[in-house]
Amino acid sequence: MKKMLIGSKRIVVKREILAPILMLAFSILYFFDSYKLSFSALVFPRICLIVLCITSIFTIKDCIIILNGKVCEESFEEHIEGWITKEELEPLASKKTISFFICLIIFILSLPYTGIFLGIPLFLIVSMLLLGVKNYKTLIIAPITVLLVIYIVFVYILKIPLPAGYL
Amino acid sequence: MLNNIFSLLANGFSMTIQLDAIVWIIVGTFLGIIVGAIPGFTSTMAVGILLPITFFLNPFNALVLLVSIYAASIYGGSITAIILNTPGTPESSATTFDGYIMTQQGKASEALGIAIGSSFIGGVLSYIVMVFFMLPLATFALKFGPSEMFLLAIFGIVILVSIGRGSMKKTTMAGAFGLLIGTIGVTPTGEWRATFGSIFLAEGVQMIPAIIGMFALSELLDMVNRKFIVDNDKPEARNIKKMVKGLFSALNYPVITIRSAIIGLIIGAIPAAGGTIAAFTSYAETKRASKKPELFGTGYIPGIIAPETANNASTGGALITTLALGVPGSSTCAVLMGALMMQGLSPGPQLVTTQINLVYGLIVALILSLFLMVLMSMMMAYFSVGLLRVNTYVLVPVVCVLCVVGTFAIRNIIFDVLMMVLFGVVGWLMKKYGYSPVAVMLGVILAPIADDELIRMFMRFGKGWYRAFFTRPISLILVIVMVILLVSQYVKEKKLKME
Repeated sequence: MKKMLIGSKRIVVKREILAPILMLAFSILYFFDSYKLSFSALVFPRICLIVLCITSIFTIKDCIIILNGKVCEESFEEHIEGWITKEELEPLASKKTISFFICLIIFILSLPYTGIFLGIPLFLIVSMLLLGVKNYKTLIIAPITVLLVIYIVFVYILKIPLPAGYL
Repeated sequence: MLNNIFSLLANGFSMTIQLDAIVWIIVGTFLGIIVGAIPGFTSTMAVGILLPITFFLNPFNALVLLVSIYAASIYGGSITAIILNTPGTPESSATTFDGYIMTQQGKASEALGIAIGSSFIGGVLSYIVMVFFMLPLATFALKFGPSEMFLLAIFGIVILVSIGRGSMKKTTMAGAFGLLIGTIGVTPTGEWRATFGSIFLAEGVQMIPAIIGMFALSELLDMVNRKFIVDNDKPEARNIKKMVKGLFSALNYPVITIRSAIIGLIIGAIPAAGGTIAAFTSYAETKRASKKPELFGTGYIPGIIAPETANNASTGGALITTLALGVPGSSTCAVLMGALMMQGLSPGPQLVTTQINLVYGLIVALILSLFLMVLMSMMMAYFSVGLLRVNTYVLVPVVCVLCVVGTFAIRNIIFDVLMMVLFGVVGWLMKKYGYSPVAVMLGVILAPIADDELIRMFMRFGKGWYRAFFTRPISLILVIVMVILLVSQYVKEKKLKME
């Protein structure tokens, strides 16, 4: 939730506004990437674009509340009661979620270089430690078991080539 | 005629009660449940992978193996839908609405039992109809031209908007967003549409990374903040009694069960419509007809019975059009048709007349596989409840690795894995702010159908293509139903706001 004071007006914007803005941005990008196509290739996406733009604009409108600054100075909380959900007041993501997500991204991007035999155990050990696993038996057994299952199912039975890495 | 059908069934029974056929039914059912339960693996993939193996089997055993996988995988998808809020197959998406809530309420065993019982009844009813009404139903399904198919695809989204899970505006927005994503890729006319210069998007956004990201990864990102899958500190213990109790729940709701089976059968018989639309339509119709619609989405038993009965009944419908008309009723049925052709059989009216014993043998095998499915599913479901007691700090990284490897395995490119992560973040944000990830996924699944059918409409009806929506009786009925559903939901929402 973001509060702004413009002139005598107090503007409150919900963090939820991110979703319709992102969707609107996507529809604009979609439009500019494909507007030169033939009529038949564009008619269905155009219908979707129109619906998406209209609903996004209305949702953006719902995410903004404009209050008279002088009137609502004292009774601000009362004015936004019911309009603000509990998710708005909480942080967007917890430290655990952020650190786990960063760990996951590093794992995926490094997978072509490390390969599954190094990348998977490393990711599992680091992420389990980050999340709070302290039992060393779990830290050893889980990566070995997962690697074994993946090797048997994907490599041995299904013959699916997985990243081998440079090592 | 009745005598003839019973003698055909007797012949089919004698074909099925052979040791080798039974072994293939067991193998197929087991593989189907496993494949269905793993997010990212679909019955189409499993049937496709096993296709070369069937070349070494006789035609009956080959088909028995493949149809058993097909039928069992539809149930398998509900296991993860109920336990992890992650549908193993798209057909189980609607099961998450009440199934996962029941898990959160400590009733996972019962929910899994309900899903098994409903799937069994849905399957049995559809195969019984298959025995008696194969040809008339297939002929009706073929009345669906491009305008009806287009409307049916849109109907899926309209239904989701109309069942009132979250704001109408947000669900419409999510649905339109999904449809737009689903149109990315090379068009049926050969043009590159919204690929943003990426060759990896030429085939469109891959459905599996999108499903895994939207449902599994988004849930995992949320799960790291909890000690166990369920919110409380004392997760539910395995309980076979509750599971058995759930197994017979569908019998307490005969009207809902029969109506859902009919919906599943009819929608399943329509080429390319499939079990996903059937499950959502059945859920919406059951909620609309219920005296307690407010209980849907709160862990209400009919909320599991309706989609699970319908999605399993859709397999019978899809097989009817595949076998009797030679038109694939679903993507898996298209691969099944390939298997039939590999065996020197041509699906269609000719198959029903010249190979009638094989067709009835297949129906008997399907019914037998349902009984096996109940036994195997009970075992699988019993062990899967154990997941509820595993600490999420171990479970989340392990499942994450399986998601990454499963996504990579589809095309062997990291781009798909990154797409999965992107969808995961989008899904996580959407869930946080009350948008429906199911609507996005349904859009991604249905967009190619809607787009193809619309282009077919231009080719068939020319400039006045849109008139077909109002001049063709089935199209007109669909348009009217959609308008009624949307208007009634709008009025309901307005009333609620006023209150």
